[in-house]
Amino acid sequence: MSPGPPELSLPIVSTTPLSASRGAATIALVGNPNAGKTSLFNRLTGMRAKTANFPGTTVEHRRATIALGDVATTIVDLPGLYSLDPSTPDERVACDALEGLLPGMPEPDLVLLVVDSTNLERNLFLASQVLELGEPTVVALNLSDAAAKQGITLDLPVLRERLGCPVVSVSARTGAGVDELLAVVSQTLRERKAPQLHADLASCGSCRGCQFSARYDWASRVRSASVRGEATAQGRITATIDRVLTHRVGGLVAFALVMAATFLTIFWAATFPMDLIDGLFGAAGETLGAWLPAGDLRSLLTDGVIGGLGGMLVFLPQICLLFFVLALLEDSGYMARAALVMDRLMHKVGLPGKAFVPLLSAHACAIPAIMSTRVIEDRRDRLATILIAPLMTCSARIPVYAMVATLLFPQSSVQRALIFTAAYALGITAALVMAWVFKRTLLKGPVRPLVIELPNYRLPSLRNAVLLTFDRAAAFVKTAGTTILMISLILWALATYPKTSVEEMPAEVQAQLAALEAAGDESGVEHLTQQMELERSFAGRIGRTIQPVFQPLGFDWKMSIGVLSSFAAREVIVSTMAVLYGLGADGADDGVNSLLASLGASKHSDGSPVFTTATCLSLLVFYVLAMQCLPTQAVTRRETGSWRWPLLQLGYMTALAYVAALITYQTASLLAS
Amino acid sequence: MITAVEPPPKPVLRASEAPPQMVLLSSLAAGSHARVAHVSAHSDDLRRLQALGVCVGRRVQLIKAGDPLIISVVGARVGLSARLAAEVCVVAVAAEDSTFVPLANAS
Repeated sequence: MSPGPPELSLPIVSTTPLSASRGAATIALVGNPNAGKTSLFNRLTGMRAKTANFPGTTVEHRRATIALGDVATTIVDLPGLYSLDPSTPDERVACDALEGLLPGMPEPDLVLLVVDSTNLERNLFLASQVLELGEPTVVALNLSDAAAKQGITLDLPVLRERLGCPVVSVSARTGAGVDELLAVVSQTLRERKAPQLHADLASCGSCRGCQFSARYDWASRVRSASVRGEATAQGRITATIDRVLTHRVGGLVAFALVMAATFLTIFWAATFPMDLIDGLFGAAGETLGAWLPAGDLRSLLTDGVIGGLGGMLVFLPQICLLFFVLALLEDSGYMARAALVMDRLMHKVGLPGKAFVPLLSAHACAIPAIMSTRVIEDRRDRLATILIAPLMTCSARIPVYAMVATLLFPQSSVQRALIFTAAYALGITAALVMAWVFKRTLLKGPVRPLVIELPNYRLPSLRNAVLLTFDRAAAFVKTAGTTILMISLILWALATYPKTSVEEMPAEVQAQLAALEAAGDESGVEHLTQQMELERSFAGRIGRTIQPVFQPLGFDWKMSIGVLSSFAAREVIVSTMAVLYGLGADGADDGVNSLLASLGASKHSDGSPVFTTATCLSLLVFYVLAMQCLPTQAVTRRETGSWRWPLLQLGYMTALAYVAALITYQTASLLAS
Repeated sequence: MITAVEPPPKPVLRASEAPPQMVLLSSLAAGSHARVAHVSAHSDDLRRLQALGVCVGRRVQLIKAGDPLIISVVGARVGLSARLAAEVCVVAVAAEDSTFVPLANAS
């Protein structure tokens, strides 16, 4: 190899205010996506990491404070970057944080640049820009174990000279070199030594016109000077796998198989912890109920607090599993291929290929789906995806679908399955149509054309996936937990007050109660009392008041109360109906059958059945399309940084649900008559 | 003798006006190698392309044709929508030409 240009070191004076006097330092972890930055962060910090938003943004990062010698050092894991010319909001924030431009974030004292040893040239492009910032920098050549396996050797002394800063070879996977890295970081922090820019690199920055070209040329020269061996083995395996996974037809088939396997695993594996949580909360409620004297406090704690929290936490296993599997798929390199094969199809409704996996995830739960839209670069594309995600049939809708399907077709499981399929299809169709509408009106703009790196396939790290799942689950519990607890309490109060004593009930109910009591039917007494109390509570009165609104949809006043009570969580309608139709709050748990028998038999005051085919279909359509999930709204608020979008989501979905249910009811009634 | 001097041609090359020796990245055959000569994409997309290595002077290889297509550039595989690939002009080069030759007018 020819020697580089004559050496001419240009010391750069760092203008960074030294914060070491406070005995604390900040290190920014910077690197290309797929350079193993997060693995290295986890390796350096273990379980001490916290997830936080950058001040004033919705962009998240993880940070942790570790003791480096006697200095409390905070390591900040910045979003992955290809260059310091940002093209996504995440990249913009990472650049600003790196240069100390973010209000409320101190400029880092040291930049730890993570470089993929198996693809030095590409990673050196970012290095060339970072080094020019003139902040003390240490380069970690990560994935050294993978490089060694592929027969790549890196000449560290040459790299140190060309980059003008300390260079350490590490493997986040095995832990090799991490101690040395920490020692070098500690020393560089003490010395505050800015990189000595090699003349070859210094010339890149001065030539603004051909910046990119000059930097790539520099990266190419440095690679030629320092790398022996070629990264072909891994590339060959990846090329072979890609021949199938990115194939025009084969890619779609493979994608369908991967996703089907993912969802089957999630629905199957989540059953056990979900039953456990359900049982635990049920037992907690009973224990507390037995221990506390009957009255408002008991009702508040068992129905309001425990019931509300249990209703939310029961979906946590599904959410966690979904996050976990998606993290594994992402880490393996497959997600980039999924976005690639789906891109052309998604373009037809104005969304990028990267929107597909979030939308599919929404079939388990809209919350992880909305959180995983972060991979979408364009803000409009991402907002459109967030807005339509709750239209997909999530697992909370399944109890409602089951109820309606069985009411419609008590005998035929084939027809019930058809109803289920139709409900899913309706959700998907509505979502795609709404995406198309949003991308042509409110969020008007072309779809950003696909540009995506297809990283080499690798074995995903369980540890990283667990940590990510834990983070996301904690964020969900924190965001959704407080909101749903508050709303549960409000709904509880509405359903409990004002109280109704037996004396206030109509005479015929009192007579009925007396008859039941005489017959020794205690649960019958309890159920009738609960029914009367709910009917006369605020919720009941509101239900009767707004019933004219739902009249055109074929809903009676009891169903109107059900719609109201499931405002925060759609699955609540099943238990509300159980109470209103005189089965008691436990009616829904006794098996759907008793509830269905009671619903099927219920009659209007004129003797006609309440649950006609038209009413059932209308109720189903309403529940497919209505928002009815406060945790989702809370997460939308968190991800978009404003209440505007969750309100729009609520507004358009409610309008859609109402109009569609209206059309369904009126059409079905006409056909039936 | 002074003759009327024609104004110089506009420096901005539209994809549709590409000189004959240049071809569009989207029209390459699978497996062929080329060097990027001009990128006329919109600024945000241009930045994303450049950050992944699709910029003047870089060698690319078309791995898979179609939409989206897959190229190999600066040691990595990149998926690219055909619409964007049609905004990249390239000059075909031989496969064995692996030495680095900077373009004279790479500015």
